Order: sequence, then structure tokens, then C-alpha cells
Amino acid sequence: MWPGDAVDGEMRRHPRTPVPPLDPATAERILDGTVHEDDVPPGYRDVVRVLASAAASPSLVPPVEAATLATFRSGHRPVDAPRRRSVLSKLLGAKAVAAAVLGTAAVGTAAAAATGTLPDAAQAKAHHIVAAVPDAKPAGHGAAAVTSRTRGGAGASDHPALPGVAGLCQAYGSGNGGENGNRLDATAFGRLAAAAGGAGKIAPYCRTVAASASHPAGSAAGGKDLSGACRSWQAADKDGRAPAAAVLARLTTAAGGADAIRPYCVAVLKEDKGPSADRPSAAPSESPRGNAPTAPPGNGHDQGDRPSHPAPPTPRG
Amino acid sequence: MIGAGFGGYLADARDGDEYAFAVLWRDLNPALLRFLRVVAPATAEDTAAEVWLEVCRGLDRFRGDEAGFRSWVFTVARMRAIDAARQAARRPVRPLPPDQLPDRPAADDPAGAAVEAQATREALALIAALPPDQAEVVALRVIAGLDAAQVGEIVGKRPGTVRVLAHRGLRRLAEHLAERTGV
Repeated sequence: MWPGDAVDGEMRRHPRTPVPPLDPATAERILDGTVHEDDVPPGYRDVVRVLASAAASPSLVPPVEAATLATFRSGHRPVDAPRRRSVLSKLLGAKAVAAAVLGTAAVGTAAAAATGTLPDAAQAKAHHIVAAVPDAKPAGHGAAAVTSRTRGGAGASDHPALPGVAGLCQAYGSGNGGENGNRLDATAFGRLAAAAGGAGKIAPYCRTVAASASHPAGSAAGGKDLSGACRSWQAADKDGRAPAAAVLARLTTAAGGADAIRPYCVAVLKEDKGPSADRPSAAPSESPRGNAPTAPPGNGHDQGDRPSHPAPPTPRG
Repeated sequence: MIGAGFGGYLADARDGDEYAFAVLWRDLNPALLRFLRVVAPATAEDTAAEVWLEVCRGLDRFRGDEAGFRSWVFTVARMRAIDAARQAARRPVRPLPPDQLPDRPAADDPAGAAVEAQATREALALIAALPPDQAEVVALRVIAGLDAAQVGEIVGKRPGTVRVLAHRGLRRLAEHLAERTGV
């Protein structure tokens, strides 16, 4: 039945060590996991232990949730998804679709949701799921986009939060090298991007998560300080000077590494300035709100968090 | 297991509610991955992604309760794992087993999670080293939490045959562990 049946398992090469017989009822109870290791014949205690380990859910949940949800989403979008997926499947095969979904759709759809470019139904769902993700409640200035989305969505309080955002933030901050975009290629961060509301928002989002975890009420002041530090860093960088040591140390910590300061500060200042900010890293030019610099923030759709990754193309015809 | 709320989550997921689908996924995916690490160790994560893709596609057509849902998901998983093994036999590659790759970013208690994950990995490797037909039924009984009749439907064998295979698997495990510890 199994193609690998011809290959000898490791155990077959060992000489048999005699163990006491096992009556069928006890065997079934061992398989059901309803027996304690003290209640089985000697020789089977380790078996009970091994099976318990095999049956235990490691607390380490593989963070491919956003990718799976994107797959789900594409399978349930009423109008355009089925055709797009069938074409893609033919071209790439299921595995490649999954990979593409990991790479782009999770981030892209969250981004599209953030900019309000999804169809209404999808927008509502995306807000719903994005609102359900963060388990730490960020507070203060930097969290404005996140909290406004939570309010606009179907309500995070309806459901238990999906855990692990703080851990992902930590991993994101401690990653070595690379621009944020490179890190986001790892599937691990699709979920983080979804929670943050876009790939470009992870750094400020994680800062607010960390701040709200350690200083529940004090993150707003911290955000101002960091944007000041970022301005000073950018000015020094522009002039080719070395930034002040205190600024550098602070931003290195906040960004998770010296080489992450540049994208981090771009994100922080973008957030700080809101929708009228300069965007050297380019929002999509077809963005519907590109010409609305004075629109008030936080009116249900998120104005300030233009993603640095463009939204996936809308399928046509 | 989700329990009493399962029917509601399933119905919501069928209506396109991503949260409900996430609940189903979070409940079942860890067991699915562990099962696949036994029967298709080199491709467990890829295969799991394919399984969920197929589940997404077939969700509208699925009718049944939670036990039925688990049976269905593991039926799909077994078929995809066999496909993966066939493909590997046709085009032999030497993929790196997942346990040799660096772990993904850790949860809140990395040290505890690492110990736990290590114990789980070793346990799965022990089961995987059983003869394949025994490994499969032991994994479905223990990891997927299915009974002998459900496992029989998935693997196409009578429940009695499933029991015999599973009991032989337990004996083999006991022999191997006794050998290892030198008792």
C-alpha cells in the first residue's frame, strides 16, 4: 500500500527484545489514551509515555494560519476567486498556489483590507479576521489604526483572541539582517502582517504591542520620542553623519537591529504623519485616497496605513 | 476537539466566516501535522497545506459531525501522503526532514516549548519507525483520536484488522524501547 513499504524501518534491524504480552482491552485503552502509565504491564510504561507525547499538542503553533486563511478566503470569495484559483492551479499546481498565497495573499489581502480596496463582503470579513488576531491590546498613538479597525470590524470581543502576536513580534525584532520585506517572505510573518494591517506596519505595531505589554498607559509618549529619534537619525543619515549614540542605541533596540532602523523609521514617521506624509517607498499610484491628504483619520476605514506591498491585482475577465 | 460548538463553527465556515474556519484549523492542524510527520515525514508541512486546500474546496459538500469531519480530514491527509510518497519514489530527492530545520519563531515559553517539541518529535519518530501499516493505524488511533472503526474506514481495512495492527505496533514499540533502555 505504502510506496515506502519495501524500506526496512529502523526497528526491524534490531533483534527482538521479549516483552510481556498485552491483553487486547489494555491495548485499546493505551491507544485511547485513557490509562495511566502505572496501570499497564511493566514494559509498556514507556509506550504510554511515548504515545502521550505523540498525542500532545505542542504549544508551538506553526504560524501558517494567515496563509491557510488566505487559502480559505480565496476558496470562498463568491465571484472572482474560483476562476482565478482554477487558472492558477493549472499553471502552478496546488503547492505553488499555497506558496504564492503564503507570500502575497496573506499580506496583500490584509493590505487591501486596510486600504479599503476589497469588495464590501470581503472587506467586512477581512476586518473581522484582522480584528480577531491581536491578543495584546495596543494602546496609544501608534495603535490608532489597529484600534480603529477593531472598532470598525465585527468586534474582537465576540471571540477569543488568537495568541502568539507578542512572540511573533519578538521574533520579528530579533531577526538578523534584511529589509522588512525579506523577513515577510517567511510564512511566519504573514500572520503578523495581517495583525498589523500591512507589511509596512509591523514595526510600529510591534512597538505598541511591546509598549502596551510593559507600560499599559505610557506608549503614546514613547511613540513621540521614537519619531523624534527617527527624524534625528534620518537627518544624520542624509548628511552622512553618524547619529547620536543615544539615538542609535534606542532605535537599534526599537527596530530590532541597526540595519532595520531605516525601514523602521520610515514606518514610524509614516504612521506619525498620517495620510499626508511623504511616501518615498511609494503607495500604489492608483490608490483611491492618494489625493486626499486632509481626510480625517480613524473613520472606520484606515487612512494612514498605506501598505508598502501593493495589493494583489484584481482578476479581470 | 471543539465539542458542542462544532456544528456552529462548521456552518459559519461554510458561509465563509474566516474566524470559524480558523477555529477548525487551529483545533485539527496540530494533530494533522503530527500524523503527517509519522506517515510522510519529509513533506509533512507541504502535505498539510494541500490537505487544507482540499478541505477548503470540499467544505461546502461536507456533511457530518465533528468525528466525521476529523475522519474526512485524515482521509484526505492519508491520500495526499500516499501521493507524496509516490512522487518521492518516482523522483527521488533528499529533502531535509523538518526536525533538522531551525524551528519557527517561538511562542511565549520558548524553553518549555522546545522541550515539549523535542519529546513530541522523538515520539513521532519512534512511531514512524514502525512498519508503515502499523505506524499508520497507531498514528490515526493516538494522534488523530479516531476509533478502530473510523480508522478502518480511512485505511480500507476491517476494524478487527486495525486492532491487530495497532496492538502489534504497541508491542513493537515496547520491544524497541526495552531494547533502547537495556532493560
